[in-house]
Amino acid sequence: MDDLNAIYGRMAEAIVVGDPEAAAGLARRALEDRLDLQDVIEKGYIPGIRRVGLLWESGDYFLPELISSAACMKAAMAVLKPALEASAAVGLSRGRIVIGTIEGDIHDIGKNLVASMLAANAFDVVDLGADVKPDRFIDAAVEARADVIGLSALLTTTMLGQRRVIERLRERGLRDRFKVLVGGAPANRAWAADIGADGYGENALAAVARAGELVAEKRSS
Amino acid sequence: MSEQILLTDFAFRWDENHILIRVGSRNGRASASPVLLRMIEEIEPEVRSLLSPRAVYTILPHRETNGHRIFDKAVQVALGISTIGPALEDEVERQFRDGDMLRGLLLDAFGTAAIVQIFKTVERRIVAEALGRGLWPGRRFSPGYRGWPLEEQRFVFSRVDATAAGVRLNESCMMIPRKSNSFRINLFADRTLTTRRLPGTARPPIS
Repeated sequence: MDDLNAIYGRMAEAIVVGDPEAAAGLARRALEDRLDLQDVIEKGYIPGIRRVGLLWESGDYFLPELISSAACMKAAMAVLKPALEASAAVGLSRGRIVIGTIEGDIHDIGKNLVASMLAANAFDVVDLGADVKPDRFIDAAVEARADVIGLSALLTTTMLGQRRVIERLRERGLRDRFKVLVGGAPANRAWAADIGADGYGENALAAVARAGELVAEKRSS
Repeated sequence: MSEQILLTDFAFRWDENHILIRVGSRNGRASASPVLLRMIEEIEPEVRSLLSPRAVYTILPHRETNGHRIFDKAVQVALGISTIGPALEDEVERQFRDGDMLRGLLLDAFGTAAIVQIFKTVERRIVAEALGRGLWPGRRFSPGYRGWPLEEQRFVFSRVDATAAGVRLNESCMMIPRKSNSFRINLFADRTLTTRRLPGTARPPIS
């Protein structure tokens, strides 16, 4: 048990220090040693990315460190994913999110960061890219059986499209089927409330936290 | 279309701290990891090869503006469009697609620093030109800021040869490539009308 805890600790540490080779190497070793992959993720890698989040909140880590750690999670998950799929492991996903930048807006770096942090935190992410029409968000969410639709906008002119997606959800009778999370430079909590969104993420980690809450709300309702 | 001045020769200087701050390292070099600093050093030569800077500007008499109130009191108006070109953005997208987000983010930060240097170079040139003609240049503003609606991009693009700059507008009035800038500088006959701090002068009081 001590050995296992030490391995989990090294996995977490690889994520915290942003070492993708170590993260992927430990994942390969986990496969070779036939470790329980659910434990590997939940006791090894996830605590690492959570610690990164705490370091960000305390001001010890900045965006580059967050990104490096997210990349390490991705490297480890890339190693584990084929085995996870083959074993039909269930219960690892924290929720499914369809995300994109709203129609007319071509800025997607912020959205990409949120998508990456969501993926690093064990969400299934369907990234639609930028300049996404309202109905495409909805169609993709229906197809993916998403829990949450994430809407990004960079400008005050394009953020109106976030409202339009929610209106289209109502028009199509699907508003109750998905939680809607909004973000982007001009958005704020008041805007989210005004347009009837379910949540607002002021940065990538806040979006991850809020997404988790929204998934829990949706699944408990 | 009035005379169009095309500029393609720009010298870039990078401030490591500015790049770090742009990628979210709030304390700049003081809080940056050695890995990050090394990446910045490695990326810099690549950035230069990905930049194809272009800028076009023109100076119009007031009567050739669209009469928007933001041009009031100007005797002439300089309008400009500048860009770093599409290559760096394409590379940023590729890096994000391939999973190297940090490299993508750093490249994007260099791109932002580059476009700022480009339009400031053009601005300095317009300011010098205006002062040489005995006019007082106001501050630089872009559509979407300070009471000048984003839709005014269409006016700027109707007066400046955007094709020569290699920039186009989409339906939402956003510029493509994204690392582009458009602006106006009002030129006044009366010095008291400008709020720009000019060399050798104190900032005039804002009435």
